[in-house]
Amino acid sequence: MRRLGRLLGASKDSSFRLIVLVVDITLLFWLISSSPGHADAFRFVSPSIWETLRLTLSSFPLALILGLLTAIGVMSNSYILNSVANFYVRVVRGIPTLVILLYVGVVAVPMLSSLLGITSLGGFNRAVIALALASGPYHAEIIRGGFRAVDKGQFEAARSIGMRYVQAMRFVILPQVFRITLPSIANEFIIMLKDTALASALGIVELTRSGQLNVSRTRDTFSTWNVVTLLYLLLTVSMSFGTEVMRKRIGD
Amino acid sequence: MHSRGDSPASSLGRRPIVICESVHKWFGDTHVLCGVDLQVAVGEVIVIFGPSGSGKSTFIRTINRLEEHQKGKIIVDGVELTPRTKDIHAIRQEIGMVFQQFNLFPHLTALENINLGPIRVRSWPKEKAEKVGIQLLERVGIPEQAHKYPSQLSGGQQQRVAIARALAMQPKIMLFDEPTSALDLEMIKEVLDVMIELAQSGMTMLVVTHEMGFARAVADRMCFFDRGQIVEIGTPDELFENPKESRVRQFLSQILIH
Repeated sequence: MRRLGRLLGASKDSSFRLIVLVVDITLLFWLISSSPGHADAFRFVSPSIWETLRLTLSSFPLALILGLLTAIGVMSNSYILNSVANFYVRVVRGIPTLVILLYVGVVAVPMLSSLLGITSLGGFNRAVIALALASGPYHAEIIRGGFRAVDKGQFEAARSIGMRYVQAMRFVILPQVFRITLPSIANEFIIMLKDTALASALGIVELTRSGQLNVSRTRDTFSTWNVVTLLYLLLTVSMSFGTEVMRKRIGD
Repeated sequence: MHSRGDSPASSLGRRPIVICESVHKWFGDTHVLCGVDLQVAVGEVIVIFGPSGSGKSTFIRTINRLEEHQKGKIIVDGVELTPRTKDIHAIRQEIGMVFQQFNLFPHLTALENINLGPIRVRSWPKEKAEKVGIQLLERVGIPEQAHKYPSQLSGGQQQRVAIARALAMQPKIMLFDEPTSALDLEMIKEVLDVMIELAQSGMTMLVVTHEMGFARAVADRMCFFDRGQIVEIGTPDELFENPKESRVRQFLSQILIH
């Protein structure tokens, strides 16, 4: 038990999360075993967890790449790159994420597809693109912050031993940026998972939409939303333990 | 005939490895270096001192081109530093620098800090770099700290690792920018001892510092910097016993009180 505690990072924060997780799992088990309505809801919605994970795993890397490019653009001296990046950030941050999903899914993708004369992308891909576009600016801000956090003297020290720009970046600056930004980026993964619920607006059958379908099927809002809520919590809290483990590893 | 500028290094009977002629630098409209002339001979130890803002740090940073001068000539080991200089990185490999804030790489251990340059810039094999690295750690007195991270070391230890890191590249010249100014008093000595040993071993050193004990012990010449110029230059004896310029006398009297 102590080994587990140390692995999970025996801090007050972690113990609290562990309690939440244990209560969550216990509640879920109890509801499913004692109430046929909950059991039924669970059986119906739980397969959609897979779709939720698929969405998260697809759009997160895309968002990260987008964020990286945007960060480079924002930090760049080139007027064009700088303007494009800043424009993107301002537009996205000015629109609710749900609306971004709707706009990209219903307006932008079909319009661009017909303009470019290619077959329109499926719903899943539209959602992935929209989700990535919506979180890109936040990844960019984290990365930018990471660069700002590295002491200016680091680059000078690297140059003073004869390193070129690329070498200094590769061996001195970027490793530090990586270590600094990793916890925040990992947190963005969890945020992305929650954002996938918005894909329901495009009809993608992930966990939330599955819940809505179950409600229209059984009229049992109580069981459905209890189960869906507990499942989301289960996913996010267990992932946050993963971030904690990662944080320990990096902090060495 | 005391020089406002400099007595040629050839007067020491050794060839000059650094030649500065009429070096000027501006930061925007501010004239920070106003015509600096200096020649440094191989193996010479020069201490640069003077009030803050006099341009001392800026000056030594022009030697390894961390700062660029706008007017005048700087020639290091036969190569002139200009905006068109082909491979400034190769030149920097021959010049080691020790910073006031140490600037150790926090994500690497002491030994890894020292090895990074030799392995990645000079392409040494890992075994050679490690061997030399350990030797350098022994030379600066802290071989047992090889696998510690900078955050686990005291300021004095960190600065000694920084000196070892600079020496690992086997430079011909070492630049020191106020190496002990950020250290607690009790750690200054351990760093100065390393620098004294280095000076006695024949390294060419340009040291910006207020540590007059160090200057008296090993400096071949000292120069007083004020408002972007070398006001007076001479041996420690000359400057301590009989400075020609009143500014120098005044400054020395202020700092030698401590």
